[in-house]
Amino acid sequence: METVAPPVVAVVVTHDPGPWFEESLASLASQDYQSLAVLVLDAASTDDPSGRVAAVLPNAFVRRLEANVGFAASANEAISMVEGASHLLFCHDDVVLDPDVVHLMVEEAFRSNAGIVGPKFVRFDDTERLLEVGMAVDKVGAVVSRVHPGEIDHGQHDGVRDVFLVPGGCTLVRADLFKELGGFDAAITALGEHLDLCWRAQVAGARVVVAPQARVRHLELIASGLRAPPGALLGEDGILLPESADQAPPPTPQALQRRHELRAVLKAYSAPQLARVLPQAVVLSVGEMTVAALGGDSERAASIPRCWWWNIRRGREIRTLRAEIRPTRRLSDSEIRHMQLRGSARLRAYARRAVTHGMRSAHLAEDHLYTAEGHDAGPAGGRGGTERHVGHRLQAWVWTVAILALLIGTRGLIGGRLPDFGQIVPLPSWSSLLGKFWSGAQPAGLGSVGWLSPATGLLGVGSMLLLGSVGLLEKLVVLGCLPLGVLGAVRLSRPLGSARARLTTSVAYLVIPLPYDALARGRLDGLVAYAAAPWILALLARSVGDAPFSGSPSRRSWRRGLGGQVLGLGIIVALAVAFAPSIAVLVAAMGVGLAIGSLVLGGYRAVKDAARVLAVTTGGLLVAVALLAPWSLWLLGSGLRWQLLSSPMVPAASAPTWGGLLRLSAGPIGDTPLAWAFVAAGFIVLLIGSGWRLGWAARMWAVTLVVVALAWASGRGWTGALGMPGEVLLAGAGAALTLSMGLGVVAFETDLPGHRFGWRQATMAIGVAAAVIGTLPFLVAATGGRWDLPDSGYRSALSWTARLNPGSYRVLWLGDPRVLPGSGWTLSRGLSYELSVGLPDATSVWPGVPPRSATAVAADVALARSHSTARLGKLLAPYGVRYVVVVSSLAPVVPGLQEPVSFPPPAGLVSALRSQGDLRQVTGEGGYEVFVNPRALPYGSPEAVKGGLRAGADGWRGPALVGELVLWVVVVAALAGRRRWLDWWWVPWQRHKARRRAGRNAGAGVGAGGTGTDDGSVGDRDGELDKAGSGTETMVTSGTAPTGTAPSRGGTSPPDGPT
Amino acid sequence: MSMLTRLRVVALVVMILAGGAIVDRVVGRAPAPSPALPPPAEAAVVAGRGSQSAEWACPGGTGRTGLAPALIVMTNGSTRPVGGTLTAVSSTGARRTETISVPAASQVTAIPADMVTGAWVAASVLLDGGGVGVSEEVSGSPGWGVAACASTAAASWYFAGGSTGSGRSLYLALFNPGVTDAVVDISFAAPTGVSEPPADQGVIVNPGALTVLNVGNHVLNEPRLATSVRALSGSVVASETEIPRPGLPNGIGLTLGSPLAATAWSFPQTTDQAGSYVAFNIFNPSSRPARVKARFAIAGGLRSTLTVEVASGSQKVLYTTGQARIPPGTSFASTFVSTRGVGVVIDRNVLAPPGAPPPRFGVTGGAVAGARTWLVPAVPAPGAGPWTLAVQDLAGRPVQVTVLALEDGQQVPIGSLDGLRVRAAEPLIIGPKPGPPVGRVPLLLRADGPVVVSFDVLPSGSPGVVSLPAIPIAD
Repeated sequence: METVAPPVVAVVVTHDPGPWFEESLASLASQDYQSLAVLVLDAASTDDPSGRVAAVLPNAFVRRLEANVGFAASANEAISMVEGASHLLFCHDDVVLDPDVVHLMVEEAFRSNAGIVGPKFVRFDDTERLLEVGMAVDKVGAVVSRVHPGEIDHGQHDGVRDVFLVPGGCTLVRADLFKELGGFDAAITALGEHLDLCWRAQVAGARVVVAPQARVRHLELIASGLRAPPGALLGEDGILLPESADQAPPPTPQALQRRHELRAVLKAYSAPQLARVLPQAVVLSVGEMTVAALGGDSERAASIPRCWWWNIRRGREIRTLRAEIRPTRRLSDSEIRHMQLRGSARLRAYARRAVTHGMRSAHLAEDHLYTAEGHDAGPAGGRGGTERHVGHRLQAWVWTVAILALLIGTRGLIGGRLPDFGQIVPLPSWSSLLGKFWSGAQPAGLGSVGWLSPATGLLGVGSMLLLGSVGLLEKLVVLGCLPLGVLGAVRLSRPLGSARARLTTSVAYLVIPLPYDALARGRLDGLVAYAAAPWILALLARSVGDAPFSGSPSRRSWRRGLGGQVLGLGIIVALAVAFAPSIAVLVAAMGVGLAIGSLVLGGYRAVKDAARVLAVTTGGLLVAVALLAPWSLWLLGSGLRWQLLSSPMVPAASAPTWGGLLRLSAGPIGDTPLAWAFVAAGFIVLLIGSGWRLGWAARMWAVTLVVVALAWASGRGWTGALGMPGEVLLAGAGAALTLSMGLGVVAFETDLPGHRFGWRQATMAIGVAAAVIGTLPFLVAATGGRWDLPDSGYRSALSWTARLNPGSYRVLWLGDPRVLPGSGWTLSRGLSYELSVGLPDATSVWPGVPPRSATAVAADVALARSHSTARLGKLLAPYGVRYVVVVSSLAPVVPGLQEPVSFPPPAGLVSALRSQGDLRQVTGEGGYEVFVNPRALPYGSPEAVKGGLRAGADGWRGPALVGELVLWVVVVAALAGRRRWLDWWWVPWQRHKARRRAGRNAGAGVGAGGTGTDDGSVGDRDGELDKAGSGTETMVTSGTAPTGTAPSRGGTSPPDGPT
Repeated sequence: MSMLTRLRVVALVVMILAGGAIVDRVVGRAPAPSPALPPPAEAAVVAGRGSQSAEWACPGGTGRTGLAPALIVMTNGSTRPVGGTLTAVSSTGARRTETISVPAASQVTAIPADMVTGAWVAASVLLDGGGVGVSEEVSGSPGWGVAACASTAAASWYFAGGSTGSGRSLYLALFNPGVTDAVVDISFAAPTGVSEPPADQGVIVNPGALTVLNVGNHVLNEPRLATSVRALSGSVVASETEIPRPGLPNGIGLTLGSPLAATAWSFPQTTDQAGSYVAFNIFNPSSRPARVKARFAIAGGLRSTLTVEVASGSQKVLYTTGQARIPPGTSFASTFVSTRGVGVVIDRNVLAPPGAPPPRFGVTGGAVAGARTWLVPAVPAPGAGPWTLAVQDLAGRPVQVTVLALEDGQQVPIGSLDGLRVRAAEPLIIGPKPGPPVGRVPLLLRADGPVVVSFDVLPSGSPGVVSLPAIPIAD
C-alpha cells in the first residue's frame, strides 16, 4: 500500500512583497514534502503578484483580496477555500524555509500529536543568529521570547518541546483544529494573532510544540518596522501615518502587541480566572505607565491606556468570542496557568535590564524590537553621539550612595509632620481647599473673593486622592521636589549621549545645596524652582535647535517642533508658576541667557538660534498665562502685579553678595567656601571642550551669569518693585552649572583623547577633585537628618492663641518677609505683613492681591511706626485683629534645643508697638512678640470690616474654571497624541511625502518577473482566486484530510497520517 | 569651534565674574535703611500734623498737699484745635478722666492733683491729633521746676544726675500709661559704685498705675547719683524729682529721663555767672568705657574743647565754671560727642550764685537730635522775668530761623525774630528779652535746617537754672 503524505496547504499571505518574495516562494517550491500545495493570498497589493508567483510556483493558487485586512483575516480565507488538507502551513511572505521544514514539522505534528507546530526562526541574513524558538507568556499575556536577542545558535534550543505559543511566520496548524477554533481572530491585524490562536488551542486541549530541526529564515518586516501594519503608512524615519487624515493615528507595533495580548487575555480566561487576573493586569499597566511617563517614554505611557480603551470598546465582541470559546474549553485555567510564566514577565525583564544595563537600556529594550532602524538600534535619532558605556556597577554604587545619603539626610522628616515655618505651612482639608478654589474665597487679608492660584485646586485634588491625608500630601509636595528635580537633571543630560555625563549632572544636581537651603529656610518657592528648573532648561535647550538637544523635529509630529516645544514649556511653567509665581521671571531669565549665549558664540545661526529660543520662551509664558487663566489675568490686571511675581523685599543690608550667589548660597548649607568647588568644576569645560560641548557650555554659563546678575541686582533693589527671591533664581543657575559639569565629562571623553597628556588632563583632574569636594557640604548636612529644619514651628509657640479664643480670630503678622509664615505683602523694604484667621495655613502662601481693607491695616501699622498714633489697637479693632505678632526668627527659639536663624524686624517696630497705649504685650520670647488688642471686634461680627466683595464675579466663575480645565485637557491631549483636530495640516503633508516615496520604491521593485503566466492568465483585482492556469475558487487537495474531533492531550492515537 | 571662540567665551566669562566681584565690593551693601521716620531719640516729640492720635505721660508731680504738685501745660502749635482726654492717676490708684480741648495756636493748663488725691499724681494726655506738646511744671515751697512730658513709654530710662546727699530728696516716679504689665529693675551708679537695691528689682507697675520710689531710702547720702531703669516687660515713663530740704538753695530739679543713651548731646545755652556752679553730669550706662569730647562755642566763634573719660556704668561730672576759655557771663552752646560709638546720658545742674533770686537750683536735660520745628511752651512761672531763647545750629551750615508767637489762635510772626541767621555750631541767643507778654506766650520756631532750642525763664535772673528744652515737632 502506498503511503501518502497528508496533504498540506501552505497559505502565504502577502502584501506588497519586496524583492525577497521570490526567494520565499522558491523555498516553498523546493520543499521535499510531497503533498504540498501553495495558496497565495494577496492582501490588496499595489501590484498584482500573480506573475511573480507564477514565475516560481506555477501551480500555486493566487487569490487577490480587496483590502489589506491583516494577516489573520486574510489567512482565514483558507477556511472556506481549502478542503481536504490535513494541515495548513501559514506563512508570511518574508520567510525562507529550509527544504525539509514542512516534512519535519508535519512529522512532529503527528509524533507529538500536536495541534500547532512551529519551527526555529533564525535571522534572514545570518542563519547562525536565533530569532525565536517558541515563546512563553505570563498570566497577563505578555509574550516573552525564549532566546536572547542576537543569540548564536549552538543547538541549545534544538529539543522538541511544548511551548505556550509559536510566533507567526511559519506555523503548521492542524486543519480541523483551525476550523474548530474558527481560524485566527480577524480583529487582530498584526502582532498577536498567533498568541490568540495558540492560547485558544491550548484551551481546546491541543498541544503547541516547537520543532527546532525545522529552520526558517525570517525577515520580520512588521515587527522590525520595515513594513507598516495594516491601515497605516510607513513615513519618513519610521513614522506610522494613517492612510487618511481623518483616521486616528495608527498604533505602533509595540502598542499593537500590547492590545492584542490584552485581547487574548480577555477572551481566553474563564470568568473566575479573569476576575483574578484582570486587576493584576490593571495594576501592572498603571505601574508601567507611571514608570514610562517618569522616564520620558511618553509614547509607551500613552499607548497603555489606548490599548485598554481599544479592548473596552470591543467589549461586546469579546463577550461573543468568549461564548464561542466556551464549548471548546477542555483544559482548565489552572492547567493553562501551569504553562505560563510566574509573575509578570515584563516587569521582571524591565528590572533585570535596569539593574544590568541602566534605565536607558531598560526603556530601550522594547523599543529595540519595533524601531525602524532595526534590531541594532542605538539611541533614538537626534540625541547626538553614541551612548558611552560606563561601569554599571559604578553607576549603581554612586546612585546607591547618593540616594542613601539623601534618605539619611531626610530621615528626621519622613516620620511625623513637617514643622510649620516659612512657606511650609499646614494644608487645610481637601474640601476646604477645593471649596476655596471654586468659590474664590481668599481668607488671607481681611477675606476677599477673587481667583485663587490653581495650586489650591491641585492640592485639593491631591488631598482627595490621598483620602484626606494632608500631612502626607504636604510631605509629598515639599520633599517630592527633590527627586523631581533630580529626574529633571537626568532628562536634561540625556541628550549628551554619555552615561558618565548623565551621572555627573544628576548627582551634582542632587548634592548642590540649593534645595536643602530652601528646606532649611522654609522656602517652598525655592523647592518648586529646584524641581522645575532642569525640565524648563531642557525644553529651552531643545528650542535652540542645536545638537545634541535639537532632536529630530519631524521624528514624530509637530509636537517635536516649535509648536510642541511651546506647549510643553507652557505646561511645565504653568504647573510651576501655580506654586511659585516668581518662576515666570526665572523662565524669562533662562531664555534670555540662552539667547545671549547663542549670540556670543556667533556664527550664521546665532541670531536664528537666539530668536528661536526667545520665541519659545515668550510663547511658553503666554501659554502658561492662558493655562492659568483666569487667575493669571486677574493678577496681571491688578496694580500690584509685580509684587506677586516677585517676593516681598528683604532688607537691603542683608542682600547676598556676588560670590555668595555664584556659589549658590541661599542658606546655611550652601554658605561655605567649599561650594565654590562646583563653580570650578563647571568652568572646566570652557577650557577643554570643543565643538558643541564648548558651545553648550557657553550657553549654560550665560544662563548662570544672567540669573546670578538678576539675583544680585534684585537684592540691592535695582529691579525696583520686582524683588526676586534668590532661591528661585539660583535654581536656574544650579541646573545650568551642573549641566556644564556634565558637558565637561563629555569633553573629557570626546575631546581629550586627541591631545597628548598635558594641562588639559591636569585641569580635568582638578575638576573631578572639585566635584568631589563640592559634595562635602551635602554629606555633612545629611548627618543632621533634618537639613537644618527646626523641630517645631509657629503653631507650637502660638497654639495658646487658639485655646484662648474658641472662635475665630484674626492675627496681624509683622516681620521680615523671610520669617513670616506663608507669604506676606510688602509694607516697606524688609518689613512685610500678613493677616490670617487664626494661625496661617497653606492658602496664605499664595495670598494674591491684598484687598483694600488689608492695605488700610498696613497704613495703620505705618502710622504706629512713625509715631503718628498712640492707639493702634483702636485702629485695628474694626478689622477684628485680636493679636499683633512681630516675628523675628524663622521658628520658635528654644534655648538649648532650637536656635533657628533670626531676621529681626526693622528697628523701632517693636518699640513703636510697645508705645501704643492700647496694645498689651503678652510675650516677648522665642522670636515672637505678641501683642493683644483688647479692643478687637469679634471676628465675623456685623460691625467688623469685611473684605471686598467683587460684584458680578460669581456668575461666570464656574464657566471660567471649567473652561480652564478644558484648556488643560486640550493642551495635554494635544501633546499626548489625541490630536486629530490639531493634525489636519500635518498628516496630509506626511502622507503625501510617504506616498511619493512609496511610488518611487514601487517603480524600482517588483515587476521584473513579468505579469504573465505560462498559460497566460493573470491575477486580477476582483478578488477571485486565480491559479496560474486555474480559475477555480476553492482549492481541493489531493489527499484525504483527517477526520474526527481534535485529539485530546496525552492519550489517544494520532489521526491517520503519513508513516 | 575655533580657538578664537573659546578665547572669546572664556574671556567674557572671566570678565563678568571679575567685574561682578569688583562692582559688588565697590557698591557694597546698602546701608541699613532708616525707616520712614526714625524712632524718636527724644523722650518728648510733638506728633506731626497728620497724626491720628498722640499720647503724653507726665509722671512727676506730688499731690495737692505735697511739696511739688504739677501743672500740666498743653501747647497747641497747630492751626486747628485738638481734643482729647486727660487722665489723672494717683499713687494710691485713684483715677479720673476729663475731656480737654486745646484751641489752635494756644495753650491750656490743668492740675491733675485737683482731680484725684494721693501723695503723688501722674497724668496721661490722650489727644485726637498732632501738633500739641505737653510739659509739666512743679512748684511749691522748695521751688519750682519744668520739664517736658514723655510722648512715648520706653523699656529703659536713664538719669545722669541726682543727689540724695546734703539734705536733698530724690524721688523716682514710674508711670505705666499702657495696658501691659511692666516689671522694672532699677540700678544706681554712684561714686561708691553701682548699686542694685533688692527692693528696687522686679518692681511691678500695673497698667495705668503710678509708683514712686524714694531713692534715698535705698541709696543714702550720695551727692552724685545716676539712675538706670530697665523694664523687663512692658514699658514705663520715668522722671526724677529732686527736692531740697528747707535751708538749701531753692529749686526743684524735675527731670524726665532719657529713653536711650546717645552719642551726641546738645545744650544750646549755658552761662557761667561769677559764683555760680554749672556741672554737666555724664553717665555711661553701657558696658564699654566712653570717651566724651565736650565742645563749647560762643557767638563769634570762640571755642573750647575738653575730653572726659567715663568708665562703664559710672558717672563723671564736668564743671565749666572757671574754664579759662569761656568768659564768665557769656552764654555758650555745648555739644558733647561720645566717640567709639558708646552711648552716654548727659544733663546739667546749675546752682545760681548766692544771693540770686529763687530758684537757685535747676536741672536741665540735653537734646539728642535736631529738628526743623520746635514748640516752646510758655511757662506760667511764679514771678515774671526776662526770657532768653537759644538756638544751636546742628546743620553744619548757616540756617535761618523764624520765631512765631502762638497767640489768639494764630501763628503770629514776630518782626524782630523773623529770618534770623544762625551760624554753624554757634549759638544764637535771643535775649534777654523783657517779660510778659512775649514770655507768657508760647512760641513756634521754624528753621531751614536741624537746630536745637532751649528757653530760659529767668525769674531768678540766673540763666540756666530754669531752662526748658523746647519740644521738637516731628515732620
